[in-house]
Amino acid sequence: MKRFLFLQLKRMLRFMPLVIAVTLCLLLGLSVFISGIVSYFDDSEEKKPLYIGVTGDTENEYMQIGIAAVKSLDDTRFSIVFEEMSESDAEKAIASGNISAYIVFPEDFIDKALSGDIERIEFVTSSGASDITTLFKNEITMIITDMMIASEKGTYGINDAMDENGLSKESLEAMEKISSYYVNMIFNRSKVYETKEIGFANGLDMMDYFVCGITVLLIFMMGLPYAIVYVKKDYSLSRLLLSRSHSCLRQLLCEYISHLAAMFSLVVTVFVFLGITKNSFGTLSSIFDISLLTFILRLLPVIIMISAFNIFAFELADNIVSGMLIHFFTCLCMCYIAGCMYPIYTFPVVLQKISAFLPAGLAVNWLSGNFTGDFHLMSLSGILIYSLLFFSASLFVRKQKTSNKQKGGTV
Amino acid sequence: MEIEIRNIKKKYKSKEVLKDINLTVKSGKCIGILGANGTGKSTLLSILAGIQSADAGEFNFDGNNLFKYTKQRATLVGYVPQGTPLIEELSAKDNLLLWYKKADMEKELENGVLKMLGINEFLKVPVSKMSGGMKKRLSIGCAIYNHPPVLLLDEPMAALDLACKQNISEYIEKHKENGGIALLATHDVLELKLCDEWYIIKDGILIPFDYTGNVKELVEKL
Repeated sequence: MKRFLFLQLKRMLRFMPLVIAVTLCLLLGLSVFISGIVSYFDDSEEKKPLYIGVTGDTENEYMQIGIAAVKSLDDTRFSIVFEEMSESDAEKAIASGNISAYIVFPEDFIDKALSGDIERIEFVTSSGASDITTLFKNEITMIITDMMIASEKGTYGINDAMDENGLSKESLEAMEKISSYYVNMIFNRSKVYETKEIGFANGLDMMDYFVCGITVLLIFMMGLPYAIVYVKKDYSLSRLLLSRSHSCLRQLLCEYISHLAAMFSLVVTVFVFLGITKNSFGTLSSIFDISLLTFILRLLPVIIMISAFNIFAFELADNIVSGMLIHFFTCLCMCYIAGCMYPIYTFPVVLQKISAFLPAGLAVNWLSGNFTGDFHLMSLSGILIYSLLFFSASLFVRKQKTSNKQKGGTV
Repeated sequence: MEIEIRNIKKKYKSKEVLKDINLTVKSGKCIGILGANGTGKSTLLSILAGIQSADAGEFNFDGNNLFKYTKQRATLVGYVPQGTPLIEELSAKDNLLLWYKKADMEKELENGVLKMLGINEFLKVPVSKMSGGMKKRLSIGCAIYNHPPVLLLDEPMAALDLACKQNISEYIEKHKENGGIALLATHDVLELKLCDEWYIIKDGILIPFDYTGNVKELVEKL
């Protein structure tokens, strides 16, 4: 079977120019697509109001006044909608994209703040909502600035009132006390909040998320032109090989290895090419913040799975057109449901859960580990299980078709 | 040398395609197997070639059951399937190299079976650009790479021009002269003339038939 493997590799080389041409077209198309999606999300962030959850101790009367006041702040280009909710609800809401961030007020925040003892407010956001962080910081700064002006006014007001009532002596002492409280509060304002990021999806910011998604989509689609090589018009060669004791397993293994080698070389070529021209591909530049080699090694299990899927899809088809259609639409559906083309948080929760178990979803999750530093052992196991399943299913179909049991066979 | 097919049975779900096939063929003989479409000619050949398994029966070569000795069968039995067992994108030479060692191929091209089949004429042509006749000749060239003593040919001359048919006929005659055995599943009158004995598959059994060149009589029997 070494010669069969060698000839399969030779076949792959013959098809390389066509495959590269198709891949370049795909890259071009996907670049346009990703630019469109990213700009859409940028625009939509600008147009829609920002929903921010308010959780923690918000019972205090002054806190309610404060929230009502901030709700009416609309002097930037955004308008903010504050929604009071429990912390667990806020976590769900941020995951489903219903709110952009939430703030957690610690116990007795207002009482402690009035006594000058400021506790930190926790501000929880997704990485993709980094603009909100900036906005929120500005808003907080504005609030504190207002507080300073008001407090100054208050201090002088009390001073004047005490002087007018013949309490000049006591007023000096009172002013010192009030001023020291205010100063404490103002000097502590930089510690009034901290920002904690929980990620856009899979813990990634928007660009990294799309890099993972589009990479998976691209590798799936790269397999499309191989329909010409792998869709069989008849199984005569397979039958002849079988009659000479070359089992279907060995035949399929040779075809799979050669396809895997071709896919891997193609993916490496594409990413090295993107690496060389990274300045021209600004939208994908975040891949190159990490080691290209690490990223390519991460891609290996994904390529193993997708190559097995390609072989399976082409084995199912009876002719090239149906092979291409089966491959194209299955890939498109899988990648869409897995959120490769659109943020996963915008989908219903049920779909989000299903997508996590689909081949493309597992692949995206596995790749996301490259950016977050997590290993994602479960995703890797899932990918390898799917690879095995696709290969076994291809073997089953091959055996059926070779032994004439299916449509197309002769009696 | 002798092959013996004994009590071969094959069922597809409820349809019994081969009920009880029995046949003995001696060295140097060519057997023509005829039958209407769907009667089980190809099934019988693919069972003998090891592509499908029989539900029951034996295929003996000089007393050894080749259904059990699969490696032996792979060297003793050459199977030419109905289609084209070729890699379309590669040249005739590349396809031959899947089966032949380079030195053997060159020897056969110079003065052997590949020369007889006229493969030299299109050695560098990709299969996708070959005519049906070229493909068939190359398919036979590939299938008989180790000169197996038993040849199973499934409609080898279907849709070929006369020159191609002549090439293939010559090869089968030569194979018989060398003491080989050939089983031909066929509809072709020219192929029938190559055969020494004829059998019709009907209702899952082999019925001997004496072909005298009278096609009308043959059609009535099918």
